Amino acid sequence: MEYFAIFLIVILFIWVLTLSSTVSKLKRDLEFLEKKEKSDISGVHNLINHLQSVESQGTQTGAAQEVEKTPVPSSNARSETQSAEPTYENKPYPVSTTAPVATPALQQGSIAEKGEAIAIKKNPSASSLKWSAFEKQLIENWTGILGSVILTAGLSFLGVLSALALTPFFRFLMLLAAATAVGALSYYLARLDNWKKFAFWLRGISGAVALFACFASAAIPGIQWVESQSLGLVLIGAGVALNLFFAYTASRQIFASIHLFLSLVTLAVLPQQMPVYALASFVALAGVVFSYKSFWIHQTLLSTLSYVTYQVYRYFILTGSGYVFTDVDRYAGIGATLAVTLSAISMHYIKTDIRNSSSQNYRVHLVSHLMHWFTAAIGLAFYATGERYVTLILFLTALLTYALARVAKKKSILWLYRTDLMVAQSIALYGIVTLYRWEMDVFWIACMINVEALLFLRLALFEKDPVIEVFARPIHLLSGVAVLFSAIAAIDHDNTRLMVTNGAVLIILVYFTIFINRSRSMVNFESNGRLQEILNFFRGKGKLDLIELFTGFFLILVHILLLSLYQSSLMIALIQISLILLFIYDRKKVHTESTSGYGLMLFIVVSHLTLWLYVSPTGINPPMMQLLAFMLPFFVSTLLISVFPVLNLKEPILRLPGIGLFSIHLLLFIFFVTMHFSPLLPGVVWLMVSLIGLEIAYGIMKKGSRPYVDAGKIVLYFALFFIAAFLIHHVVVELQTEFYILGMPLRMLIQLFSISVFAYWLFSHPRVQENLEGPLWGSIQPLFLESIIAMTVVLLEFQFTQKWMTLFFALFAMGAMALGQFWKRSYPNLSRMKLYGVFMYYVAAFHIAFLSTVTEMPANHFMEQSWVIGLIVEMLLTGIVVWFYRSIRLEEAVYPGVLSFLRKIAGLLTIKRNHWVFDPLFIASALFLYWSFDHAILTLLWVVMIFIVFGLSIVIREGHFRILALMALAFALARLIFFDLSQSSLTMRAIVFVGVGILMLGMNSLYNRFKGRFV
Amino acid sequence: MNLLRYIFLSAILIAGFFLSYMIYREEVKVPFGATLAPAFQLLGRPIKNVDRALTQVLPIDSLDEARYGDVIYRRYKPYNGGTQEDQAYVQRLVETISLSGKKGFTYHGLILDSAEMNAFALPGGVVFVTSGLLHNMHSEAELAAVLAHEVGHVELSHCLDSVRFEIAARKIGTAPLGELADLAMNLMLRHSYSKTQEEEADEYAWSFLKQSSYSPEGEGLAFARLLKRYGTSGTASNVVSEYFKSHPYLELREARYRTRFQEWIADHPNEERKYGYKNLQERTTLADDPSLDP
Repeated sequence: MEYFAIFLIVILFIWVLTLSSTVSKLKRDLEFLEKKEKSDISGVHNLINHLQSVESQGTQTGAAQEVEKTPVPSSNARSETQSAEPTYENKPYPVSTTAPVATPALQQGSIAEKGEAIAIKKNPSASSLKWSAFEKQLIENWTGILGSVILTAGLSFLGVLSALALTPFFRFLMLLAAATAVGALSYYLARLDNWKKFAFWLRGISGAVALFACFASAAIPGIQWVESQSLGLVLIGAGVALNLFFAYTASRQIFASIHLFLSLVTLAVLPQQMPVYALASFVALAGVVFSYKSFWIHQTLLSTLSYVTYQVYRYFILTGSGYVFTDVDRYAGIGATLAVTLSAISMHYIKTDIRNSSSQNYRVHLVSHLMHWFTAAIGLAFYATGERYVTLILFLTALLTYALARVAKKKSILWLYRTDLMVAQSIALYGIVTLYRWEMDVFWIACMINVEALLFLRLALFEKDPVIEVFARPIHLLSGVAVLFSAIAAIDHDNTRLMVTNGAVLIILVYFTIFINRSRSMVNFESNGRLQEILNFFRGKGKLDLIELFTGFFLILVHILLLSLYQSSLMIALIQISLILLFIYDRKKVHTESTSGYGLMLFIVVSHLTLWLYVSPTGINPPMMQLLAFMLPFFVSTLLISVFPVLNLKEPILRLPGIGLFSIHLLLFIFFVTMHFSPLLPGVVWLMVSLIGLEIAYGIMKKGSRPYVDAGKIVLYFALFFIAAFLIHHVVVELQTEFYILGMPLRMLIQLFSISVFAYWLFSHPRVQENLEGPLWGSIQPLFLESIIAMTVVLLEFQFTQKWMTLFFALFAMGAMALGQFWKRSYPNLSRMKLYGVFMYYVAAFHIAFLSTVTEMPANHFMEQSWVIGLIVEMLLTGIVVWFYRSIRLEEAVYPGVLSFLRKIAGLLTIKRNHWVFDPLFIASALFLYWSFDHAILTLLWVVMIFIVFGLSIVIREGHFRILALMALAFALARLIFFDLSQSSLTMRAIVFVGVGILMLGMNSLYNRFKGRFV
Repeated sequence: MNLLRYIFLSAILIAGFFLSYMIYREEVKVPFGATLAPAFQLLGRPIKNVDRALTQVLPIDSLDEARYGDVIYRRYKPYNGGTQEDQAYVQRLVETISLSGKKGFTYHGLILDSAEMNAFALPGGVVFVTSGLLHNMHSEAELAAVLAHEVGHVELSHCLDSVRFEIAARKIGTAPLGELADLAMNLMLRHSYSKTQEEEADEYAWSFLKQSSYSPEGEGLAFARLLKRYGTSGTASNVVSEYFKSHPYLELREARYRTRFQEWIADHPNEERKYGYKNLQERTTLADDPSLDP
């Protein structure tokens, strides 16, 4: 286990070394390459200038010839008229420093001539750069590191070989002598300029061998000669001290780091008693302190990283072996941790350097600083005593850290300020969490975290620091989630006191949040990157702030908590009113872009709607006055919401929910109260209320100004809402009633009443229509006409059987056409009734064609016979056809909004009226006669029908009728010959033949009489 | 213009108040808190009408249906239950009721031995009635209402509609194909208009009772007997169940024909109608012996 840990640490160490070294080398290489490139470019420029000067002197070099052959792209004329242009010869090429490749052909020629410039011009590829970095890394560092390791191993092997012949003590001395020799050599070589680096590698070997000798003399069998543990520790201490000395005297941080790392690894292998721990902590501390010398940031990072690794390793080794930390262990651990980490953390403050704030080293410093804090957190967590007073310490630490952050701010080290501010925030949050040790309730802790997070957010906004804001907002929102969940978990409706207390705390939290959030100023910074996007998500650019949303959730929770209290309606209403006042004040006085009220709106809507869930299951049929008392505060609050915005004439947000909620309350109130007397009452009352709403809307709109018109519109829409409620209620409740009042079906009376209300909506308010804009009203209001038609059809369908419906549809068609035709000027909306008349005409024709004979009911009266009704309908439909052909114009009707598609149908019916209007009736009539009467006289009946059609063709002067009549007559004559002649009785045959003959003569005389009309 | 508007508004509001007052005074109740059954019945009408038109244009007529009915009658005649007296009584009653029809073929009344109270009709004029129904009806008027309802199914071609493709296909020797087509059509459409068909058959029975010598109260009473036997459902089913229900709620049917009779009797205070209590007991139809019900 120990060896595995050592192996891991070695790997980690090597990796860190490699990484840091690679990064630094890479940077250096890049800098070098950049410089080189610049110098090369300037070299190329010089070269070009030189060439130009040579050319200008008339020297016919190859380069000059190349120039002649290769025209300059920007001026072809120059190459062609070179001799004619003295400027070309006398002036240098216009090579710009900002555009060095403006004349590529020329450059290529020049560079190719000079040869050496090719390599300079060619940019190194990414792979070659990587190879170059790897090569340098290998040569400069890894040869040294591996060489040291191999040499140490070789010496060790040599020592082992020779040691086999020696006693352990002499083996130790031998190793020590080897270390001394190497060390001496290193000091000697360090004086020589070219060997300095090698000298430090040798010194590293020396230190390693010496430490190994000391360690082996106490712990490795074969070399171990010290039996006493104390003496062994002293010896190891001496080895460590030597390495520390070497580290202190090292010229570069990599060498210092090797010595410190070796010391820590050695100590980690030893049994983890207090002296070893103290020594290890001292080594880490020394590592940090030494780095102060030249502000070795990597050295500090390595020290704290090694130390935290050591701490973790030690903790798990000891706890794994069943060791229980004593108080001394804990305090020592805390002390050591604080000593190492605080000295590391302080470095950025004490060693203030211009590099701290430079962007180049920003990330390394940030990572290093965070690692220090992380080391402190791990160490303190391992040795935490679990005492209550830790909370106070944490709060103090948070304050101190915040103070440090302020120092960084003063010194203008922004990254340090941000880092420590966030650390302070983390410590403070953890401090609040530890309040559970004080037996504080989770809900309260969550609330405190929320408050703290809000203050932190406020600080970020105050400082106008977007980076801090990006951290602060999620923390605040998460704390809000914690508050919500903890409050929900704590719900106990049997514990009224708890409910009230928690509700009150939440309300205070809401007010506090609004107070803090209300004057927030939006931080606008230039970045359009991801940071901006993240912030936009959280703060919604004034559209939907998640904080507001959370206040809404909090308030809903308050509502749930207080819902069990019967008097809560008053309380909730008061809260709403106060919040609305605050909202309006905030809007008008503080900041136009602050709290846009969505959270408040959410709360208001949800609390009002859920209120009925409380009333509904528990208070079915409550006494009206009791229900009214319960609902009164809500009526008042919704009225206030509706009225306030009208008063200040600016705020449109709350008007809609205000009026809407008032309408919903009124609707449900009516429902619950009237249901108590009869389930059929709500619908009728709703219809009356809709009319009153219409009148109120009209009254508001009459004031004329824009806000009033807008408010009136909203009232109007919610008056429509009552109509919609009636329709639903009618379908699911009222349709089933079979009750009679005053000898009339109640269902029919309700339907007639609704038709009259719809008619009022349709006809009453031309002025309202003038004031209204937008497609919604324009589409809805005209549809009352269709509602009237639909309700009338439903009424008839429920009251009459199929055969009567045929007659009603025909009458309806005629009536609809009359309405559309005669009132089209007074009420243009009615003009489309003509089209509906045609639709009804179709339905009636369909009925007589297919249904009249199969829906026959037992009846005694002559007038109840289906065929009688069918004939009457036929006559009516024929009248409609004549009327249609003579004076009905469907295309001039009004087809608003969603009904605009009807215009196409109307056009089609007008253009092709023969096929779409007349032919259906002709076919329906023929089928009606076929199915309704004895087939023996069918031919005669058909010829009667043909005669009538022929007559119609004269009346309306429509050639199609005549042609159709003649075609049908041909068919009838064929039937007369092939059916009647063979199958009818003699009597019937006679009657039919006589009848058909007379009719044909009649047609002939009509034709001769009105010949002029057949066009 | 404004005056006219205010007059109209006042008139509507007064009418609304009056209507509300009447509802309040009468304390009108409904069988179910909320139900879509009447709406489904209404929506089923246009579908049923189109379905009827389809039957009309097929090359089948009452003669084809009568032939089909003969086949069915011969197949089910051996299952005719009850006593001979019962059989004769039901047959006579069905024949009497069918006289009001237009189909023109002979109806057959059969008894199915079952304690359940039920009746059903098959194409071609075969009407089944269970012995349970026969024994639980209190008067011949009630039984006549039930049988008229079943005759109504035949007369209004509900039965024919369900086998039309089979009958049409039989003419060209592809009856199985026709059966398949009927099955498909019934699966697709029948649920949408089955309640409408029941309503039409109820209406047929009501029309028959009105023009016969029976009391129209028979229909409401028949539903009341069924309701007593099977109990009220109390609350309406969910929307899907209501759609797939084959019959309207008994509560609604009973209420409908009870109130209709009340209105009818108010319009015909002096009209004497018979119930035929004794006729039913003695299995002698009212047409054969009106004196049993003085």
